[in-house]
Amino acid sequence: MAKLSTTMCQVLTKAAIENLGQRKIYSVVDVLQEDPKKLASISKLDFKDVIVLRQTLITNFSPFPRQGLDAYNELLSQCSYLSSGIESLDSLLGGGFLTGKVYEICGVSGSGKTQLCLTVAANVALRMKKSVHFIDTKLDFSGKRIHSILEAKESNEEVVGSTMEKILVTRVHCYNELYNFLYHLKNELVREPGTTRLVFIESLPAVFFQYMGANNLDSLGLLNSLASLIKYIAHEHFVAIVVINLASMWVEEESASLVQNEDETAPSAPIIDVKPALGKYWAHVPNTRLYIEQCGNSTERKITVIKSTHLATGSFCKISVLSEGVK
Amino acid sequence: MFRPISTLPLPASAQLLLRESGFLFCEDVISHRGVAPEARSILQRWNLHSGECWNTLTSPPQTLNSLDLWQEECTSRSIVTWSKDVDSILDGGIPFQVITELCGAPGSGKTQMSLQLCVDVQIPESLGGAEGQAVFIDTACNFSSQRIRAIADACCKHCHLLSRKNQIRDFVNFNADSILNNIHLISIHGIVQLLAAVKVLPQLIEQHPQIKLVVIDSLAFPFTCGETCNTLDRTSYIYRILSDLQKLAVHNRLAIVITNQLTTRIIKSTPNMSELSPALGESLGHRVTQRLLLGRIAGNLKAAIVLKGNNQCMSSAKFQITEAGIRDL
Repeated sequence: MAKLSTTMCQVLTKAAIENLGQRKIYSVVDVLQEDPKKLASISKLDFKDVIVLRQTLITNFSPFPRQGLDAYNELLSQCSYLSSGIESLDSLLGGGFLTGKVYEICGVSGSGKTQLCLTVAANVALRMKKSVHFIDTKLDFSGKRIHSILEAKESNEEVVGSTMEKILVTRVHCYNELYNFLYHLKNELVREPGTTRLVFIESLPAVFFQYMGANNLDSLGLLNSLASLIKYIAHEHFVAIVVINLASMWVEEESASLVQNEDETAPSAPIIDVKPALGKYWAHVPNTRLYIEQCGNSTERKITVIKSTHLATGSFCKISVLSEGVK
Repeated sequence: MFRPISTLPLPASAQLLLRESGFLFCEDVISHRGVAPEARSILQRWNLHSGECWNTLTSPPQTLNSLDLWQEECTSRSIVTWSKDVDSILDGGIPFQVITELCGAPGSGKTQMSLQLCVDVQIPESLGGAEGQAVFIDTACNFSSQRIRAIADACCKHCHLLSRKNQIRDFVNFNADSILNNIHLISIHGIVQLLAAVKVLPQLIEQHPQIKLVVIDSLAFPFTCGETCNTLDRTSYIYRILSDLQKLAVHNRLAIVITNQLTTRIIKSTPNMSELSPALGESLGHRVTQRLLLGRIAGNLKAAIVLKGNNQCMSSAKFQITEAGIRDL
């Protein structure tokens, strides 16, 4: 709770909170930002008590530094690579999806984003025996597809059935339902840690595009809350979160000439004349951004790392979308 | 990790008042002791002051496992297009609950296909149909009563033949007049009327729970004529329309069909090149679950290609448009 209450500190009386409230000092942050002397005169508390209050709030609410080595040891003991079950993708990702990180898969429509997610969900559920959450914002989830992917891998009908029971699908239609579910998931992970290691959000633009207009900046604030929430869940509960984003083609004169220059000088650099949706702000959120595109007219797809905190950008792998899933 | 008040669907004025009184997070408003007294007096005005109200506001949507979903998908029927080949690339026809986009150049059969579906959705249950009604939202004055009459006549004839062969009775109410009666035509002009029409749909469906299909022919037309709006606004309108339709579709088990035109797109990587692609941008293609491209091969001979779909890799089928509607070759 960020609003001041009598349970936070013994010296904080009801009368003091009321006095502070009259001067618009409501929250912990408000108290910490105010000068202690001024606080004492507003709240009619002793100066000594105000100092005690400050100290109590700081000890209860502030984070404490840890050594890098501890963080590294924690990474080794708590985090793991979730193998996607697709060999080339695993080697691109250094072993699979790392828990505690937020991944984004972007690509133009029909490039195979959903197919890739369904395959990975099926593979992880089959191998890990843990539940995989699939948040479906535009009814892209297909039980038939999951079934045919699993059937190609596993002949035992019972195993297929029990694996399918572990893939949990939640359909959300608006941002509010998305938050409700994520907060619910957070609380569930607090109660039963480790039950979920992989969450797909398919896809974000379907939820946020309706609030994006020239005169409507609500979506930015909402994206902001979502970003901090998914980072919290990923980091605190060691869950890998995979977000699907749309990439769209833009024809801008400036960038058109830029791309051409790059083409001549550095042919090996990844040239992407498409732009992931949701704007510049969101580009900072995922730890790793993967771009998927179709190669020619075949079933082959190329996945390129275009941003990452722990992988080499520009590296790529090739996969193919087949009727039995992605390989 | 507290939940900010701004992520709740509260009226803006309620949010402002809460914020001004120092309530920034849900956890400030509600705790195990119930709604805080100060917040309670603020929220009384919107009738949101009870603990149950807050519980419904923050309750998560239902989670299903994929086994249940698969079983549901396997038992659900689709709307046939009357062309076996097209049905087979669509895995049985136009599915319920999802949005299907038909795109194509002028004369590729988008409107014909929409009209055919409006008739096909009404096929009686005894013959394996959905026995529903249809809503046709006409944005470009494409609706043709003569055509639909001809399609309905042909459909009736066929169904009556079938029923006699299989000795199914109680078929009196199925005739061309009843088919026309069961199509709710909404003619709209411009974006505002389109947005309004979608908002009125839930009421219409409540009055006629038999409605099983909503067609918008065409979605692109209002956005390409007259009224100016920038791309960002356009995308937000389209996503609002589709999101409302999707909610209705899931709730009432409807099929949603929208039609779209083709437009010229300049390809940047290869100069002086262009290609035809569906209008309204990449974002629409992302939002729809299925995308079917229709094209004319010669005269009445048409082709359908699945551009996007969940179950099938790219596949195509040929069909023709006859006096009686969509037919196999």
